[in-house]
Amino acid sequence: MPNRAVRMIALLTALVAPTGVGAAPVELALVAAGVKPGAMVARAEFRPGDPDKPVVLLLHGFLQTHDFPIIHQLAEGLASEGYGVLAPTLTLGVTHRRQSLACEAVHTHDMDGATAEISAWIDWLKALDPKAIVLVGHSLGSTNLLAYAAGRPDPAVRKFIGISIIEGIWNRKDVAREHEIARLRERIRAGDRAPASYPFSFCKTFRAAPDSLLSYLEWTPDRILKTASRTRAPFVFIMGGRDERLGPDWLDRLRATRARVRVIEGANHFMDGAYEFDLLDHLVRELRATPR
Amino acid sequence: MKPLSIGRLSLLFLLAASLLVTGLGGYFWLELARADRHIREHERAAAEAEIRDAVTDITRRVRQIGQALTDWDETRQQLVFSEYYSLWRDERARDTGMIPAEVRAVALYDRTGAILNGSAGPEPMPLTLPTPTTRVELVHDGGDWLYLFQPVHADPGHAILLGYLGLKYDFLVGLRQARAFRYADPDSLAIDPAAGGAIHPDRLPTVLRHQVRTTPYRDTFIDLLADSQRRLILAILASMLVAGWLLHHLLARPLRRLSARIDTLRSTDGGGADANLDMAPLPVLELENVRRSFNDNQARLRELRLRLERGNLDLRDQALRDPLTGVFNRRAFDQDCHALARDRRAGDTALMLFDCDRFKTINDNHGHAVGDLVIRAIADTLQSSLRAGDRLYRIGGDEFASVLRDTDPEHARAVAERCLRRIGEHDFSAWGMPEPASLSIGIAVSENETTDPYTLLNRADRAMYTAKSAGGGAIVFHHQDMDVRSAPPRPRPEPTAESAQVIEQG
Repeated sequence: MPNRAVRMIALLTALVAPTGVGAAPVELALVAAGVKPGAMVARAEFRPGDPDKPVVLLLHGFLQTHDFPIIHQLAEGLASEGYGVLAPTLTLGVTHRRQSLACEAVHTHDMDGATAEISAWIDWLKALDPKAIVLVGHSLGSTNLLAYAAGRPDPAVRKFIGISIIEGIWNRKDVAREHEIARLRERIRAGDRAPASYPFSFCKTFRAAPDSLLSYLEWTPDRILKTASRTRAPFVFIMGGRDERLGPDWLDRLRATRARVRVIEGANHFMDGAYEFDLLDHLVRELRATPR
Repeated sequence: MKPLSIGRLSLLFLLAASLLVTGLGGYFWLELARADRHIREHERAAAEAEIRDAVTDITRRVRQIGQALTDWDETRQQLVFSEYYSLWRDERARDTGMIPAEVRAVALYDRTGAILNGSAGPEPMPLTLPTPTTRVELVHDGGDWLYLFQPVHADPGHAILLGYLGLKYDFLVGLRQARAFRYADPDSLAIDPAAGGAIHPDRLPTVLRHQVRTTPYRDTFIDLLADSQRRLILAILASMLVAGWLLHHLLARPLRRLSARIDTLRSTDGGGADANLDMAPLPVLELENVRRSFNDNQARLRELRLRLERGNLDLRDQALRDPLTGVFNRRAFDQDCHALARDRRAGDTALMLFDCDRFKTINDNHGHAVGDLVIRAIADTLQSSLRAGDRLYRIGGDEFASVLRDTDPEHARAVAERCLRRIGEHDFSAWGMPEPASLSIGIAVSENETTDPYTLLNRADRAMYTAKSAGGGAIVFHHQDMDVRSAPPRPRPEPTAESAQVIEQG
């Protein structure tokens, strides 16, 4: 899948239509190159909201699902504020994915595949004729949203909010990220598709095909900052003041972009439920300020 | 029915007890065998139950493994993008720990039933999905593999079929590891070769051959019981020996001795009345009571016999006594004379003959009653004047005699003079007699001539006649001159049978 980028070419059907209040499971059959029709289904959870308020697409972090605690809590909080919330789970190449994908699994997914799925879900949301769509991502999910925004984002998307935006961290000290990127490109050119294990992100052994890892490595911090500076869509970053995963100058560099940066002092990477309500407050403020 | 001796009865008792012990031993042995058989049957049933449960566990476990793999996201990942299927099959699936070592192979099949990538991997798996596509069965093809095939759906509602999962489970290895077998021997587990190629799990318990584990507890238990049985029988036999010994020494032998002693007494004919069961006290109370009762009866019999003998003696003594005076009568005199005549050891003998002077006059003047009193007084006086062993006989109305053995004439004279003096001293006046009675005493002494009493009696009679002729109240010894002028000798009586007996008895 990675080197023959799966392109979601059609939104076939919404298998479960959202009705009433409360979370409803949603399945989206995707059509992609090399995938038999109906063989790839993405799952999501949708909470309908006030039609006058923007609908939020809430995207999880690296290898997680929409059941990840912070995503679930934010979805519940936003829904309680009257916002419609769609929390999809990226398939990562696994139809009906229900579990967090293990680091040791054979990873074939890439940033482009995620961007295609985001696009498909936005199309699904647009079918509901919302007043506006706001994309909210957590951690690497924010990077996925940035990657979507870097392309030709749908005009219905009025705002991007990246929570704890971070690149896929390359944890190998003896090999520089750029050097590994070059080597992966060389392997791909040589037709070497053998997966290997890498210390990537929070995984000590991230077993991935070369194009899969490359797609994440290529989203370097610089690329994130540049993209954030270039995108025309309004971008807001909500960061934890004590996020240990970030580089020492990451907040300052973010502030240097066109994006607006909100910092919640004392907060970490929003993985443990702490500062959940502060985060929700910031989100709601940004949603209220969404341009129509 | 002929009564049996105590020895035979004891033997019969011991024989019966031995038969009883043998019977008990046989019964215990049968019970032991039955217990052993029961335990074996229980163990066999328990082993079969264990195997049934283990097969159920294994089947359930295989289904759980299959279900976990089917529900696994990465399985669905491979059925959509199978590029790294071999990596998933050979490494990833095992690295998760979802597949135990007994699962020798896993395989994924597409919706058409073709194995992914056309490769089964290092462990053979069917290249095409067998039909029906959902199954669990044991295939016996050089190994004992429990195959599981089941569909993999994309969605929880099973509306979207992605393909199929197959896994190959080493049934016997898994079975042996499934549980700690207590009764079935896991090393003996084997599939019956005649069971066929594909076996449904429901049939597995029936085609699984196994052996019941030899449990040390059962053998120990049986050995313990057998040992207890042997000890019990030995204890009973020892008790019987002790009982037999006690029976012999406390009952049989004393009873036999008692019986033999009684038989001996019975065979001695009359002497038994004098005899006791002079045995040591018997150890059994009842036997001792019998012995004492017997001795008591013997004592009573002996006393009765003594009384009878005493009565006989009294009767015989009365027959030899003079009823008026109580001294010996003529009959006794004759018996003693015959005995004396036969006694070769007899020494010098003096025969004294006493005659009351003028007794007829006393009778006439004072009556027969006084006469009797006079005779009794004379008898008493004479008896008291004789030596203790000398007998006094009344041999006539007023005539007494006494035989003094081992006596010389001087002693005879002294005795006669003592008699006369005491008669003279006796007071006869109470009976109206103005003067005492007097006696004429004739004495004949054998003096080595003859000890024939009757000869002596005749001689004494002549001497007494001489004394009486001289006026009475005198003592006269016999001498030869008297034989010429005196009266003819008294006739010698023939000894009677009674006297002969007395003589015989000495």
